[in-house]
Amino acid sequence: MNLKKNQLPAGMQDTLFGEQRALRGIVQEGLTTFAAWGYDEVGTPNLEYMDVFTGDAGNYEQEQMFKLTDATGSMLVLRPDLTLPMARIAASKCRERDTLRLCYAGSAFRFDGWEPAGGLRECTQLGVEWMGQTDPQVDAELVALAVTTLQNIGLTDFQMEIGQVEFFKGLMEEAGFSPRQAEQVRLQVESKNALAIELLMQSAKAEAGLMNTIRELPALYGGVEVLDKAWEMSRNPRCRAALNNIRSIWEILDDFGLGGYVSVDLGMVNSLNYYTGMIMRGISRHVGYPILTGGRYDTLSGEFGKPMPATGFAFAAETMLRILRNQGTLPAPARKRMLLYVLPGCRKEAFAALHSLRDEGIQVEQYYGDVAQLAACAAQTGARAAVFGGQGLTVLEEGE
Amino acid sequence: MEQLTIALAKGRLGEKALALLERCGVDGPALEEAGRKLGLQDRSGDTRFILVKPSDVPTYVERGVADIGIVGKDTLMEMSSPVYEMLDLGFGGCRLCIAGPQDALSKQEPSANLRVATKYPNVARAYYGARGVHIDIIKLNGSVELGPLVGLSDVILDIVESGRTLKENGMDVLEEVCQISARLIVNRVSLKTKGRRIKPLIEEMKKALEDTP
Repeated sequence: MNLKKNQLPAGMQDTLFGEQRALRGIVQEGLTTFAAWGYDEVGTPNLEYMDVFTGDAGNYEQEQMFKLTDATGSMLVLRPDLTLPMARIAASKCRERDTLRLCYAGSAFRFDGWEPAGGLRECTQLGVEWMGQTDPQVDAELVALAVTTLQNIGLTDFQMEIGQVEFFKGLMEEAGFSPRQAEQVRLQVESKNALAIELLMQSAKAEAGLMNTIRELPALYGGVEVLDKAWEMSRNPRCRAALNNIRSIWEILDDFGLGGYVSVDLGMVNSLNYYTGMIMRGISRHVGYPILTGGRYDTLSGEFGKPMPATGFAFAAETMLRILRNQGTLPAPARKRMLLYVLPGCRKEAFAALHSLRDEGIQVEQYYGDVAQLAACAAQTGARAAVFGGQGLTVLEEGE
Repeated sequence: MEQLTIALAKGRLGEKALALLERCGVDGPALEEAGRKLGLQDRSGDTRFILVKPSDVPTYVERGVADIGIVGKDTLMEMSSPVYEMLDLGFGGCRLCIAGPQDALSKQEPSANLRVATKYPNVARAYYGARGVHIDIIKLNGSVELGPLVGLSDVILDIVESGRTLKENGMDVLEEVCQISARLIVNRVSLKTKGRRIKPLIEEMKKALEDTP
């Protein structure tokens, strides 16, 4: 006997009825918003060669992916994200295009669970990629699109944090840290561990002012005033260019009237191999993990054979669903339901009547059971019970 | 004021944590009155405390069910949860050590995997992995010292306070992995969404720690 017949593997979930409908609505709302901003949807396979997802910039660890082999022994994986397939498309099928705006919605699979999906191992990932241009206006548009998309989905209170990996990279370069030392500092900055940074600075050999700046990194978050503070603390041209970039982006967003949604965190230093400029992270008080991630990754498509600057973001529909549920704003069922019993001999007339009810947008199920059980059966799905007979349609009152 | 939820470890660590919080102006509930209750409210309703198993504190904070938590560094190392680790609170100090009979390592067959009994399998894997030593991990949930005594393992990886339990069981510290103490951890979203409550509290705690000799 198979004991796992009625079980699900860890990190997988079923979604039923109203929740599934809401999930579908979220996907639809996202894609509609992306399309309105000029992004074209593309579909890519769930299964791809492992090589697509391993490299310098887009480097998934083997342990993060669900793996299979094909008949020739090649390694295949269930796609851990959809950004890398987008880069693959840009460098192959759309090679002649100078700029591309792509969007997607599809399942992504992560053995270790994708954080913005709340650790689910399969989630519905939605996102956009803009390829072909490096300009603060492009990054600002991405942030604005992210805010608009979440608003359209129905999120009421959330924040978009923006950072700039070049600020951190500039500091590490100025301090002359080896990649290994820089990675140690990065890990501690990311967990805002001031003590561990202090210990690392004590053993490091760098100029005192610079080390103070690195010590301050975990606290460099908040409103736009953080940029002034950071400007005073760093004279390095690479850092200052990063700060100017973030300031330009912030000013554009402020002109868009979105300043209230945006805050700055210069201690955001995740995925440094991948990101090359602005990075963004959405947060909501309704869930304890980031709800959206993205940023600029100008070196990735080069790995696919066509260097092209790019920026994008992604989120999981399942997380949006959870937030709507926690907000108490899950959409009500859009359609009325009816469970209809057709009296013997009325089949012919009933068929036409059914059609017009359905055209009116009512969800009509036919009932073929014992008529005495009609009302009880309708109650199970919240439908109204109705009978179609010689006099036409009679909708039963509740409890009748 | 929005409510702040604090996860505390049941036991001595939690009591010390609560004492520190009270010194920082948090109106704590009387733990002795708590009895078997696991969720406690302060008098003003501004703060809620949840009392959980020490190894579960990072989980509650990571998931945002608790905004902040106080937990031993050993637990944090084992769990490696994505949370902000913002203060070393100093108390709960001890060492994470490899311990065993004095001759455990010399007696070891060079080709055999070292058998390590521990409550911290991830720490053990990382520690020996970085040294290129192949080990077999034997995950235990308590009385780890029994491992080498009954021949279940060659050594143990565990926290050592005074070392008395080790001595009484004929073992010594063979290697020190690291020093540990209690840490303040903060949910990454709460730090931003409830910053107005969390940041002043962290400052108060810093001050209180500096005032303690």
